[in-house]
Amino acid sequence: MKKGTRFLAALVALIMTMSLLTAVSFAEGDKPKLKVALTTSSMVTDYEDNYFTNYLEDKLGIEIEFYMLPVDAADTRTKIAAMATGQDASVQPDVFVVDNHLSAEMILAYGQAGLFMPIEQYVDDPEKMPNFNAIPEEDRQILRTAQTQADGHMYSLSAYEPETWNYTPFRMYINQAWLDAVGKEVPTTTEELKDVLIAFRDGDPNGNGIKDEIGVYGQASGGYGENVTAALINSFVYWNNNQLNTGLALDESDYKTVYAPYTSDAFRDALRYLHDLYSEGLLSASTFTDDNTTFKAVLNQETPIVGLTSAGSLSNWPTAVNNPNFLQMKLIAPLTGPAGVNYTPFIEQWPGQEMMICASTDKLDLCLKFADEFYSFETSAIERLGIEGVDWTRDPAQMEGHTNAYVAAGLTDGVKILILTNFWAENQNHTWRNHGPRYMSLANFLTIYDFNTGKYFDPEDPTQLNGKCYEMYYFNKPEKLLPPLKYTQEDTEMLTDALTTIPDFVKQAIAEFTTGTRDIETGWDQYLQELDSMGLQQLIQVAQATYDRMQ
Amino acid sequence: MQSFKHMGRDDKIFHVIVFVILTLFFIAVLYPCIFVISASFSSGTAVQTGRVVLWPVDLSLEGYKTVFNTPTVWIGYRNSILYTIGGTLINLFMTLIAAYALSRHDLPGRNGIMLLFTFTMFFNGGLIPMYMQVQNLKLLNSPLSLMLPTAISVYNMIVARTFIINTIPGELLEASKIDGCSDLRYFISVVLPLSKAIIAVLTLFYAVGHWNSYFNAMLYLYDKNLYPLTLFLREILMSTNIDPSTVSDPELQARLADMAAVIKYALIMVSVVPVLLIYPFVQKYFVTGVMIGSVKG
Repeated sequence: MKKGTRFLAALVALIMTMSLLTAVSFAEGDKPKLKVALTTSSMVTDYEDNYFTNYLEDKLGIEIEFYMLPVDAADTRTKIAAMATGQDASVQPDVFVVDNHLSAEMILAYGQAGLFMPIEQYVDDPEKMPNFNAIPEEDRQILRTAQTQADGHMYSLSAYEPETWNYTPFRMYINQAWLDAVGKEVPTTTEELKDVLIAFRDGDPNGNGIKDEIGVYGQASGGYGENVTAALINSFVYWNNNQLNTGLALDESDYKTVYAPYTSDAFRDALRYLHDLYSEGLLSASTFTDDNTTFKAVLNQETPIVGLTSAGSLSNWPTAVNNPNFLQMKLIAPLTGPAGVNYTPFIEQWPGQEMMICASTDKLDLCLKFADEFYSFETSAIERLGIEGVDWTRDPAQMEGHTNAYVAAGLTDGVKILILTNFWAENQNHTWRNHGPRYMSLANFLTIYDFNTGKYFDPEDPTQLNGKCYEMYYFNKPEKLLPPLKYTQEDTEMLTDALTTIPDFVKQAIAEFTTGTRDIETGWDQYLQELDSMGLQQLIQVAQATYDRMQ
Repeated sequence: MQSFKHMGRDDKIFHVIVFVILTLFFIAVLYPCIFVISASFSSGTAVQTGRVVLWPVDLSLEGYKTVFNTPTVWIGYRNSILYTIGGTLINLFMTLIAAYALSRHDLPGRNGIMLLFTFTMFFNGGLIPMYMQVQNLKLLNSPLSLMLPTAISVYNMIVARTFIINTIPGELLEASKIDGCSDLRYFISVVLPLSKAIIAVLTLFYAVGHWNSYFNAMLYLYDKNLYPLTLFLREILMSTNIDPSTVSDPELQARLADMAAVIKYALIMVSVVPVLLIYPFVQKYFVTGVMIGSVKG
């Protein structure tokens, strides 16, 4: 008997402890309480004892109760799908902050299902949302367009903070040490590049006596500028690496017609060029197969073996500032093709959908006040940069003597914000790690000086590339780009296959044309036919109609 | 067993092939373990650039330092231990009472009940109905939501039932009854002490299951202070896998992934150590327990 009783007693005791754990303090305060479902970040150590949480609570006179959502987008979607079925006001939060984890189609579906509240009438009301309406007209229209769904309603509030660095991730780097070794200048055209690559191939520029030099190397599956073939194709025709709108673009003759760049003759010429490089042994086929780990490994070989690559982040060369491999590389401008085209796969940044108000809330005014607060300059700055005076400053005395590439180039009159710490790369409880709506203008970003390397701005520092990147890449784009198209639910259902198969197929075809598995001369018509059979024409038609409707 | 020297030719070939195949399997299982250990002691740079193959490169404790300085890891550890102990106790209680009752031939409607149990092994309501059920029971955001919905595994219950039927002779029950023993007393004083082997095995199965599970926690919990370790682990691992083209600021994402990569392997080590520590103690019961339960029906 004794043994059994002990067993049962232990069980009961444990269950009781567990239930105690659940009774998280529900202290009665006189402040109104707002239930916020927030997508978390693994790098935030504490949400209750958090500078940004306390800042919002004090400023708005509210108490925030958190409903934590998972870090991963797929997990968040599962969880919201489950919550959407509940529709029980007692367990439903007042606002969702989802860190752009829901697609436009999902927001539309949940909006129509009654989980999210349509808020367009409040968004345009300066009484309800003063900070939002204080955003300069042009940028505010971008936010409004991004928030408007195919049914004409707005269910979400967005974050917009364009940064020049992120617009042009396909930054090309050439091995300067090798250029010196073979006595060549930095190439500016595709023909000069070929010439340089041949010299690399034959001249043993890394000096180890082995023919191990790879001319052009990249990672076609990379999501942040690692697909070097896309960078080269843009010397022939603008193509965004399928990263937006299934790669569709506006025809440059009228900037009104939607077309698929990967069916154009210029694209075919680009593939001929890539195939030429490949058959001369100047472009590595592993570009099409390598994953991110291999990509980094190849870039960081003890004896450098890469002549030209493209990458968005310097983190591909760990500790770039004293990474011997990186220090050999030099940022070069987009190359000019035979027809004079020198674009880069310019990825325009569009507002991400960050916050939704729950239709079941009984505190609508408070939700709107909460949402609007994020658009004030101060809150947006804290959200992104951390604590003022600790992580960043706008104190003129402290900024004395600091400048940045944009100021040096005369683009703005001076640094307005100085970043003091490297808090973004650390565990911290200063912010929610940029989750939530916000607004910071491009002009504002140009006035930020990043002091976290501990050094003053030095135009010759090989890792302080933002300014150079702006000069070399920012203007290399067509006059007008296709905004993110918002298809209706019926269109999405009809196009599901096309939307998923076409981008993959195009990438695969590029690999096949380059390596000669498909013949660029005889296989092109079949390639076009295959695209049509996947529903490309239908996709273009719908895209055109959607674009016309959005204008 | 016959020594290799004295075997016939066919037997020798057979043994060599078996040996080679098993060795390959062994290596396939062992390699990832060694890799994780080596990577956890290597510098982040070496791991990211793929220089770690077998042994640690640029020996570094950076990962462990970061892990041990992360308060969420300790919150997760505490919660995982509580959920594992609490959940396993509930599991054992439910499984054993069900298994014992169903092992008795004189239980009315025994086959019908078994059928209902087995039915749930093949069909279940699915995610959304389960969520609504948990919500209606007011278990959302409560540790009980991780223990009650998984209170019993039918598979384990059948294993335990078979064990009881096969190892505890019916005569014991008759003898006890003659001595005036009640059913409860028989269960506690006779069946439980004789079922140590199967209890050890069930404990291991259930405990490892609780320790490793994250999905229910992800779905039912809202409060970070209640998260189990696996959920924190998953969040850190996921943040290295996000496609930069899907986030609004890819440069920041790349830096975040950079940092997560450093602590990833150290964190995996920290989370598997408790399970590795328990294994040797249960192992002696393991083979007997599983084998006895292996004949189901």
